[in-house]
Amino acid sequence: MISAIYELPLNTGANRVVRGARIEHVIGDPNLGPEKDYEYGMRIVRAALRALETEVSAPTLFNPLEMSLEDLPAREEVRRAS
Amino acid sequence: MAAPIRVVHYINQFFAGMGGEEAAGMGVSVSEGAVGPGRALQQALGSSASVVKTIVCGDNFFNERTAEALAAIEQHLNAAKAQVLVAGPAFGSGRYGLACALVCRKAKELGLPALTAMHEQNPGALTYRTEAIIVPTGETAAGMAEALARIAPLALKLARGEKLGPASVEGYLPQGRRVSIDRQMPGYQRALAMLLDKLHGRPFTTEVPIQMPDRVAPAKAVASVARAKLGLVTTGGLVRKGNPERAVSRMATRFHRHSVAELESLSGRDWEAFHGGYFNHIVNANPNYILPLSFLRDLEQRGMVGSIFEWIYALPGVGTSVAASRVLGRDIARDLQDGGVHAALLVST
Repeated sequence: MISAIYELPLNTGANRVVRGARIEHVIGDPNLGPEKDYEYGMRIVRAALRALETEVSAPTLFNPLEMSLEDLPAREEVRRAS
Repeated sequence: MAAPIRVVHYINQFFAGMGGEEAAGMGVSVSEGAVGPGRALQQALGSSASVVKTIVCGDNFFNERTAEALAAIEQHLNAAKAQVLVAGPAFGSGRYGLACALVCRKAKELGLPALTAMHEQNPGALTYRTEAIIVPTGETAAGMAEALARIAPLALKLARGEKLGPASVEGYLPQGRRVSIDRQMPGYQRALAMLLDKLHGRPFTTEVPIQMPDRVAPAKAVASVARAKLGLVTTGGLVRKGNPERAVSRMATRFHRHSVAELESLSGRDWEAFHGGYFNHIVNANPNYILPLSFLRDLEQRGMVGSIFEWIYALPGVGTSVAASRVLGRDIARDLQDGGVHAALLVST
């Protein structure tokens, strides 16, 4: 589950919850400009992939902004021309 | 004659007449007297109470900057010198319901009695029903008059410092609190009476209801996403442009399945969002914001994820009941498992 308002899924039993950017743009942020928008979105997706590879026993938050990039799967730099 | 009870009313940007989703980012503001449905609340309260202040906050602002919003609201609550706070009614609006419940909780912390009202399945009720007094309502504002008629007497009781009776009697959602009372009959007689009712097929009310928590055991982790087939699902109301399938924008009763076998990305030329719970324009320009196909294709091409399942699943989550969600979720999961999917990403707005 990727959501900007992560408390709700955590409290209602979603076991792997990834913090998204904003309600109106969950995977990325258009205000950052195309390149950084894509980087942010990719960071969120990689955190989600990390969550899939992590054993959990109860609702657990994965916050892309607090996770070290080195920890995340898909380590190779992915940059895309906008 | 005693001075009228002072009531503070909390509402969102929509009920304050300040706009819909595009205004959901506005911060906390305050007005003297009643605003919008506050006027009907005033009527329901009658002459013994007066709505002296209305606090307004955008639903997105409240949910995304909660601490900031509550700090501002705390100041207004302290300044109001009121005897009770009424928040909402929020009906089926999830973000509004969450805000109302938290504002009530804050008021309680400050020693101000408070209550709110929303649909029983509103996320605010599901999460905070034990921490706030919540009057159940219908799903839409069509039930405003009825909701206010039930809120008003409770608000007056709370303002006067009167103790509330059981939820079933006073008309608020049960909070899971057990209070000892004298039932005027020994237990063995009550047990026999209940057994006889059961045996004769007559209705009976258990004295000890058991609430089963709805918890799903976490799925086992994927060993390596580089070898996994991944499915993509969204409750952000993704539809093909023009909505040819006539998907609804709220209260989903079905999901929609689309093939992305040939697609590298979701384009705003071919897709859009049709969802009544958030401002759709940003996603209309780039639908990958709610279903990250572009990112996953990128990773798939580089061998960082195994493969992307050709079918994506979409529905509008807003106003969709827990009961419906359970069925839809189970059916989507079955579809994914039949397709050999190992794990799924679900994006929610």
